[in-house]
Amino acid sequence: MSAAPLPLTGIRIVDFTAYWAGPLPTAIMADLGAEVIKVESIQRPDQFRIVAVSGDPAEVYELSPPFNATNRNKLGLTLDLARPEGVRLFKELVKRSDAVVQNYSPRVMPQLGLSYEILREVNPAIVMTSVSGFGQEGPWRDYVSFAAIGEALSGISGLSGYTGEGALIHGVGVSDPFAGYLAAFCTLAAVHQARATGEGQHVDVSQLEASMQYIADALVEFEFTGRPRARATSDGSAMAPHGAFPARGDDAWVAISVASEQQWRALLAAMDTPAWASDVRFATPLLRRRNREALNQLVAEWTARFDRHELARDLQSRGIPAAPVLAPSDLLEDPALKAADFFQYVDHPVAGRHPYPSFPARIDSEHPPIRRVGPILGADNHYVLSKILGLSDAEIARLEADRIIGTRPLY
Amino acid sequence: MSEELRDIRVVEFSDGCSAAFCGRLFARLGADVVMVERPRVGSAVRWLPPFLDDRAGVERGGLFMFTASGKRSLTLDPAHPDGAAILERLLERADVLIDDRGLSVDGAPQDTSDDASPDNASVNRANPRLVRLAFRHFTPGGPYEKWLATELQLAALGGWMAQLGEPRRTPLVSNSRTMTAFVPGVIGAITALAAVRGAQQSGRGRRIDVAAQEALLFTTRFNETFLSYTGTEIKRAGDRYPAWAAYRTFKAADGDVTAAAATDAQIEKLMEVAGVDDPRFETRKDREARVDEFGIEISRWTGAHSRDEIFKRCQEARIPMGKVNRIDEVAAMEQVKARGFFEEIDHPVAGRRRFPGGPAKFGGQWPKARRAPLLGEHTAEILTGELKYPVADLVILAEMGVI
Repeated sequence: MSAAPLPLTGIRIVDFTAYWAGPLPTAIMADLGAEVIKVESIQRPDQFRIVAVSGDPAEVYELSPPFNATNRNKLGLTLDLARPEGVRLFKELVKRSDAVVQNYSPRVMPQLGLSYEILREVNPAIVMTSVSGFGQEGPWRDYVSFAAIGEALSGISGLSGYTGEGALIHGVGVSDPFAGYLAAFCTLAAVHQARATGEGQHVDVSQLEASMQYIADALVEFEFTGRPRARATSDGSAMAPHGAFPARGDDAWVAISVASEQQWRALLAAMDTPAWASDVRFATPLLRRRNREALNQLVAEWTARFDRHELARDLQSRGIPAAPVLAPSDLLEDPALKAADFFQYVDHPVAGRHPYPSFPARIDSEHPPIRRVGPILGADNHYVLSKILGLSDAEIARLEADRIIGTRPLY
Repeated sequence: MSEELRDIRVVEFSDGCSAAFCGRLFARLGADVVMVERPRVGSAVRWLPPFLDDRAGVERGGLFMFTASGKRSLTLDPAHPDGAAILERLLERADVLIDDRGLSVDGAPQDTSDDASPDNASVNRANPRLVRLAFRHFTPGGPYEKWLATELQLAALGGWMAQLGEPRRTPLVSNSRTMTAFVPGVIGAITALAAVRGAQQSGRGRRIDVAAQEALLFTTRFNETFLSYTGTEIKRAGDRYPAWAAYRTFKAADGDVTAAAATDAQIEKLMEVAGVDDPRFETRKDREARVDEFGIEISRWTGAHSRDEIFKRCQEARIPMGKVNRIDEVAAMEQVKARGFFEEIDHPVAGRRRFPGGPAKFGGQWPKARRAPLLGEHTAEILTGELKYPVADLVILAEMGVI
């Protein structure tokens, strides 16, 4: 690890989030050095602890891979916010923090007595970032959303699938991180200003609006040309051949793109110039683009004979963009990611030792370290309450007896 | 209002959409973002479709107008000694350098190890607080370092393609160039902004490298961690998310809808609304054991109703349900209109046009909508006004092809 401190050292964030779109931006800030306090309760732990893993909730709540990955580098605090004592302690934390990030439905914070207006009275410099499906106002503000809903409504699903067929679901779950990333940037921008002026503000990130920004090319295209882009097996770029081609073996594919005449000649050389190479339909780049489906078909017959890794290496050595399509098991063993130490192996008291992806930026050549993964429920109650809020051991014991705090969920 | 980053100065080299989107995020929140563009042709992003009336031109690129909103344009040849001197002076007063010069326009990595670049050592002395952000396809030093890549190869190596498509059929990417390209861009923006904060504290800027392969992979819901915990590999499953019974699309009378019911309570409410009262699907276990039959029952109801009806009916019952919109339906959504997400911007060539806004609302307001600059629009004001070059030099520099 580099000697210089991480860039957000000295920033404190209160994280009242669940699932992925809210916990992700605070994980990023934690990776970059902020002190992030994740607030759950034994009455209502983050649902991401149980929905992503099968089994009895009371048994598996420390064993959720996405929960533990998404809550890396955070402190774990439980507070029952349904009771005044929990709310009072939450406000004490807000007094000592730069930002609150929350991703509940817009009704929840006001119901708990923790609206932005109230938090601003507690600390005028506080930034509150709300991540929601549809935003803090408007006719749909109370509607529920998960990643696939944002994708459906934003137009992403309208662009995702085979030519002329129905919508497919992104296994990646893109609209959660799309919103989460913008929330991280906007929170840091508001904190930057608040540190200078002493004035915080309420930042309102909507998953639907976030998702639309990432498909700006399609939305601007409709605005400029009146043509609504649709799903396509091979995307709309000028390249041909272009797409994922079958390789030897089960579910093995190689992504190949030919962008220039020079690359086309190199591809023909790799294929030992098949008889169809002189077909008039493929004489120029424009003709190849026009007849891309037929061309892709012919190239696919050739690629199917080769190992995807060897074929990609061979084509790359000839100056052609090519790459194997990698699934999770391949990625864990990928030599480029290994050379970059991208997966960090971290111990967890219940789950054991597992690989977690680094935050994908290197600072002076180093990925930010993952010091710990998903906090055990209530793991840092004592540290936060005594070191940050200055409570005595007796007071903390009373909170525990009253179940304001705790370490076992009440499933 | 919405000038959170007003005191931050950014210098941007962007021939690709990642760096361009990164700079957009800074410019939207009030930072002074100066794009350094090639004299006469400008950034390569200007030449990416869509084009105004389908005709390409330096001031006709719609994607450029989106990404360059609120930026300033300086034309400059940094390879010319006088251009290099101007760049050096710009960097001496900048907080952030956004740079994708390590990538050529056609995706080939360039040999520009950071320490060798000419504008480095003296700028470091004059401005140690400068944050340098570089975009690359792969982490240098690995086996792909010299590989060529378009968005497709990056999606293949970044774990995205394996997650979209039918199980036995060709893996896919979505039909949007920006959808993958903006991901490294926003990762870079977050890290650079954090590093500006760090530099204020420590007096020292940091060097930040974002590799597209890593940025895309970070975005895939930690499937490798899931595999390590459970032994189960998550891969594309067509119209559904493999782990859950009611996280999938259904056919409606006029297209598709997407349900994202994660909890038992949500699924049971969906069954109630759809009129599915069947002992075969009583518990979570039952439903997961008969996923296909369960889908057929729900589809009976969805197939008889329009997307809008299903969306409203389910959402009113607090069931996570979405309508699959076509691109021409997006801007017309009542929520999108009520929030005022799309913004109208006047442009000297394009006229009054509607663009997606963002990134978020601050204190209930969108950041101010500002147009993209014309090529070299701010060259004179930057050189004479801010860097104090005499006006006469401008003519000479232009004749030499430097600006």
